Amino acid sequence: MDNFDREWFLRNDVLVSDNRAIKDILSRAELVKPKLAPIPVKLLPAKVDLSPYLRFIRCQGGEGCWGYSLQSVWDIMNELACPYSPNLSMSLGLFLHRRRDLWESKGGINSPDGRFHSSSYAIKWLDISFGAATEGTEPTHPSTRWTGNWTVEGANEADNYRLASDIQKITVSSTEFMNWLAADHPIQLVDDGHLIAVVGYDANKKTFKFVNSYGDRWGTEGYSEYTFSQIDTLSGIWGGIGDAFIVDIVTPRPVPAARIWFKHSYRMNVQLWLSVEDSPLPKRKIWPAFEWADDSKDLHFTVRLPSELIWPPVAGRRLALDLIDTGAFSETGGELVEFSAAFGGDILKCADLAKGSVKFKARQQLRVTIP
Amino acid sequence: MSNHQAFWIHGTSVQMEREGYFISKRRAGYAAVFKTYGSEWFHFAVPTPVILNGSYAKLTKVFVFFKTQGTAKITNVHVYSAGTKIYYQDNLSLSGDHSGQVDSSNSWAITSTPVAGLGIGISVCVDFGSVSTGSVPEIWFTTAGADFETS
Repeated sequence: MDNFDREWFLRNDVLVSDNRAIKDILSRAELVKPKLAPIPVKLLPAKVDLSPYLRFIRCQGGEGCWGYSLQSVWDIMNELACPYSPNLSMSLGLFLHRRRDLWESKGGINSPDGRFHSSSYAIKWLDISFGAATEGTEPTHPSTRWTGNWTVEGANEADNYRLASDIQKITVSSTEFMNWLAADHPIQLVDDGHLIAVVGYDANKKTFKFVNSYGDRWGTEGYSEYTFSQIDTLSGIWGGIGDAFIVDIVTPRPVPAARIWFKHSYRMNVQLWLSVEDSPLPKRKIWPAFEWADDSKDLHFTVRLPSELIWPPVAGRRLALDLIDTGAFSETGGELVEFSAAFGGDILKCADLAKGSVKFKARQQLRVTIP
Repeated sequence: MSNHQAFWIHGTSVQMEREGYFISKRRAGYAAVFKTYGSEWFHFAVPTPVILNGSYAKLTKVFVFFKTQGTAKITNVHVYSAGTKIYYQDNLSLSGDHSGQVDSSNSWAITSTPVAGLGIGISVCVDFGSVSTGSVPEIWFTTAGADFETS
């Protein structure tokens, strides 16, 4: 990269290090006392596992653990409160992290609808007052030196995905963690500069289950465990347990959404589009988000449906999923396991998958529809 | 001798207060159809004869023809003359098919002192209900209107 002007990038805050975001989180934590978990009214269950509520295993590819871990926690909370909630995107968080030149000196930033969002921690910040877009609308582009801005669609939907308050520091102990998890609160946890999301415990094995943001080849399908001792002694895995946080969300409204699951040896091989049959509008590409360092195998996520879709999809205006296996990274091919659409409690399954998954080969194109 | 006039507007002209991806909307020849959960306001702008035959017209009755499916119900009807609320009915629970002819669920007489209209707006709050299994609750709006008179 002979022509790479590092000074220009540094001046324009495009290469803002992860450490800035982590420092923000930790300095916030220093100012507050930890919140205690609610005292359980019943005996704690021997095992809690919130991972079934998190289908999308993220792969950061570079930096961003501070945001990916929060999105995992938030996704679980959304799914618990409102099933079939689309998975959240890191696009807004990364934009604000990289473009501090737009808001740090002004103490805040205007969203596209003209509202001013203060960066003061005493006042509601963007995740609280503005919200977050979702992956199908604003796919996360973590490694792109991105100086972009909100999209119109992302700005419109962000109001539906907001935190009710700033992230809240909690006491780090196995007892407190168990109490929070039993109260359906996954936990964002710092381990020596890396952040992960704790999603369950097994009191008999004395372990906590957590999801990382290194993709599903890491650990066991993206998950691993802490022992109770590693938490209580703060020894951790990466070098030492730091602060822990929980979030409270504003319960999102149900939106028409699609849940898609395919198995593969390399999910970046596959490209996905959603569209409404006979719609004059272009198909919406929902995967991938061009994160070439993503070496995960499978993709299982939930995205919002095209906004022109009239619910429910019927003959003549079916919901269509187009899949192409490019063969770019792998020749194994894959299988489409799930394609369903939902709006609240109204759930529709793809009939083509009723008898089992549909296999596809490298360089094959596939279309499935609902109905 | 009083002079009566009636002005109506088709249901497809209704405006949602909040645009969003959480509401499925369809405008067809027969109605505007909305499906979602929770509560939303809808607004009709009724053509208003402010002056009729040289006299100020007074509003005497309003109408909103609708049909609900599932748990959707109308809970509030507010009537505005320009920016002033001149009539309201709250704590309603109106559901069913009232899309074809005038009945007690889709019409409201302005029984207090009739007021002059300066651009009438009829606002309707619909509670679609909470998420449950099965079809998404919906409401059809087919038409809305108002009666006026001059004395």
